[in-house]
Amino acid sequence: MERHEARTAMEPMKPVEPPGAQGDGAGAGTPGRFPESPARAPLPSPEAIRATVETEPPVSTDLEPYPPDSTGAVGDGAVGGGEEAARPVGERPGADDGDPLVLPLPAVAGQPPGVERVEVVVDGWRFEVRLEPARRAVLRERARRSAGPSASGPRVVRAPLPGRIVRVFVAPGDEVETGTRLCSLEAMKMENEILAPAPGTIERVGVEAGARVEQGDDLVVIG
Amino acid sequence: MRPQLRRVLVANRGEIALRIIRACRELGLESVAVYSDADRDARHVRAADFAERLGPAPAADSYLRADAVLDAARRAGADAIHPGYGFLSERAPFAAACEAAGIVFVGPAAETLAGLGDKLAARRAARDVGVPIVPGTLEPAPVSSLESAASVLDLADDVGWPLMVKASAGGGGRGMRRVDRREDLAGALIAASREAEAAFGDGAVYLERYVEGARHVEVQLLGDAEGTIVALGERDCSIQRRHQKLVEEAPAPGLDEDARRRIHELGVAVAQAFGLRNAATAEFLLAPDGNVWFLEVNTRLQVEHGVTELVTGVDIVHEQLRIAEGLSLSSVVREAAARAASPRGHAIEVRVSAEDPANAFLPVSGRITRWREPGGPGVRLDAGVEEGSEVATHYDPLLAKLLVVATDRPTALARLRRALAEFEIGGVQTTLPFHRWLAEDPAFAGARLSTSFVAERWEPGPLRGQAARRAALVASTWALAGTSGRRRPDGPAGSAGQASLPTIRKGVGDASEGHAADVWRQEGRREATRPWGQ
Repeated sequence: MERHEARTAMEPMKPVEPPGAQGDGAGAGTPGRFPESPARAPLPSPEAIRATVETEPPVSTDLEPYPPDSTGAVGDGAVGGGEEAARPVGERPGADDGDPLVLPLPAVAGQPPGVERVEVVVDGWRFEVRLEPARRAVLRERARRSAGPSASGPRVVRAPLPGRIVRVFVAPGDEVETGTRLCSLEAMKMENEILAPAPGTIERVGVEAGARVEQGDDLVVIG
Repeated sequence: MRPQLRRVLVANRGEIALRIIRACRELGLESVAVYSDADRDARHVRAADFAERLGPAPAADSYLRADAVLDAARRAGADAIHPGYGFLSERAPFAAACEAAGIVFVGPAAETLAGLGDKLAARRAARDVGVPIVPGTLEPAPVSSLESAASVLDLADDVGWPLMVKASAGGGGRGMRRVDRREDLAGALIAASREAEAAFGDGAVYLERYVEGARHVEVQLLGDAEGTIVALGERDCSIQRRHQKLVEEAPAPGLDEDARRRIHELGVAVAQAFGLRNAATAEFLLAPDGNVWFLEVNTRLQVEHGVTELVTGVDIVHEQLRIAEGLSLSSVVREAAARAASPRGHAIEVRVSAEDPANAFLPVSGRITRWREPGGPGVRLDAGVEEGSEVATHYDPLLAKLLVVATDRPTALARLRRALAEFEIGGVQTTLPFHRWLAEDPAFAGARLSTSFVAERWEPGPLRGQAARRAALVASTWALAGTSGRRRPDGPAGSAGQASLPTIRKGVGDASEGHAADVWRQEGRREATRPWGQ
């Protein structure tokens, strides 16, 4: 009986249109993610929750509970129906090929109220995921967009771990492609090459060979 | 005269320190752990009978300080030091200092360490006893200037392209680089030499042919004070990144009995040239055409010794300690060596390290917030960490070795998949996604192995992208489970009937909610995925 109860608890929900599942490198909450047409994207239902995986680019999904009296049938089109609603289904690997783990994460500085962060481990991959009411996220994005476009802006490449800079391969003004070597960082007995995450022009190089860096220190700014 | 060991200092940390301390306990020996300030509360420290502090966290100030380790041994009254692997394990001066202090060094003699630690000397010695060495040079290349380095080009043409530039004092994948073009050679020689000088205090480098498509196969050797040297079988360690091993197995798949016997004999021949005592490993390249080329000898316990233990039934650390006491090789070892060319059973080890397999296996640091080990038949887990451990950047990122053993390779692979699915780690990214992929990979199942396997086949992008999309669904499902208006599997009764509130559950950070997440996972996972999973 316990298991049956558990299932009904899980059923009353279904996915609605994921706002940014494709990811375009612009980052969650940046403008350009929603249609520029005068017609505003409709707000998700008040109960929907947005999960944003803080990867580069971010991946997000909105999930909305079924009404409590719903049968929970899939694809009935009652809430956010149609193919959009079914989208995440096809992208799910089988349910048995890994154990998703959800673990609490401590709040970070500047975390807006109503937002919580969890760690999710899927197939051994570890992600930090931001959870918030989808409606609130959409409103915040609209507010940010109306405040003026910020474009993608310069990208700061930070030290992924503490160590020592062995060599710097780029100088300000250099054009780099995705994957261009920026510098090499010695840590844990190994030399690690730091690669450009995106194409652009080097605006600033914040380190020199021999420098000690801490995790998160700015290494290079790509414009 | 036979030294009776009573108390053994283990001059290492992490999983290998714990593994040796366990062996000491099994043999009735007292153990002494050493620790840096970063490891004060580590598992190996708690496991030992005694513990001595070495110094601050950086390895150079603690585990690499021969004087501090010897002082600790004297303070603790240890009569032997087991160095494990890495750190001081292959340093001849340290072994000599131990002997001078009247403390038994559990490993080969200092002269053997010195002789085999010089890879050029080892290459010359191997050639002299008729062991085929990887084609290359036998003297240090001149590196004083670009011009002198360029003079090596003729030699390089003889060696053949592409080739490897290697440090004579190298190890652990350092001081090694592949050179594909003539014009890059001089620069590579100088850079490798500088790297070797900085890392090992010895800038000698040499050239070796890069053998395309070769496998890394190595032979486990044991020798006693009477001069008996045996091979306990071979291991395949072709699954590497940055010349460092990720996965090892025993026996090496696809070899017939004659091929096994031959490679074992080659390993023993090299060991005999150096009068090997205690444990060592001779490394070879196995070319696609069946040729076997000698690479080098590691004069210590290998990280991957466990797969040999699982197949042979020999406890190599027990044997090391027995040999250090002056005992001759046990009958268990002799019998295992006698049937080493026709092994029964198959063992696989995967190294679970704090590294990002989607980012060139870069080491990562952090705190382990979740650690649940796999178990059950045929599974061995050698771990140095536990839930709550801090993964510091001072040391090797290896967290644990997961080993499986079964009657044959396909069964071992199935067992590996099962054990990997049971392994739960949170807080730091590890190599688990790579291992899960590998365990499903048809080329690995087909034992189509080569040292370039990972570089050629591992494409993490799509796998991680797919996992990220799934993580978003998992997280939102999990969050909604608390607001769905129905009682969650373990939910507080008060949460029922709150259907319409768009609030996210409170208090994810507190302990009770962490527990709730566990229960959700156990009870709710399948159910949660069902609405879209069909």
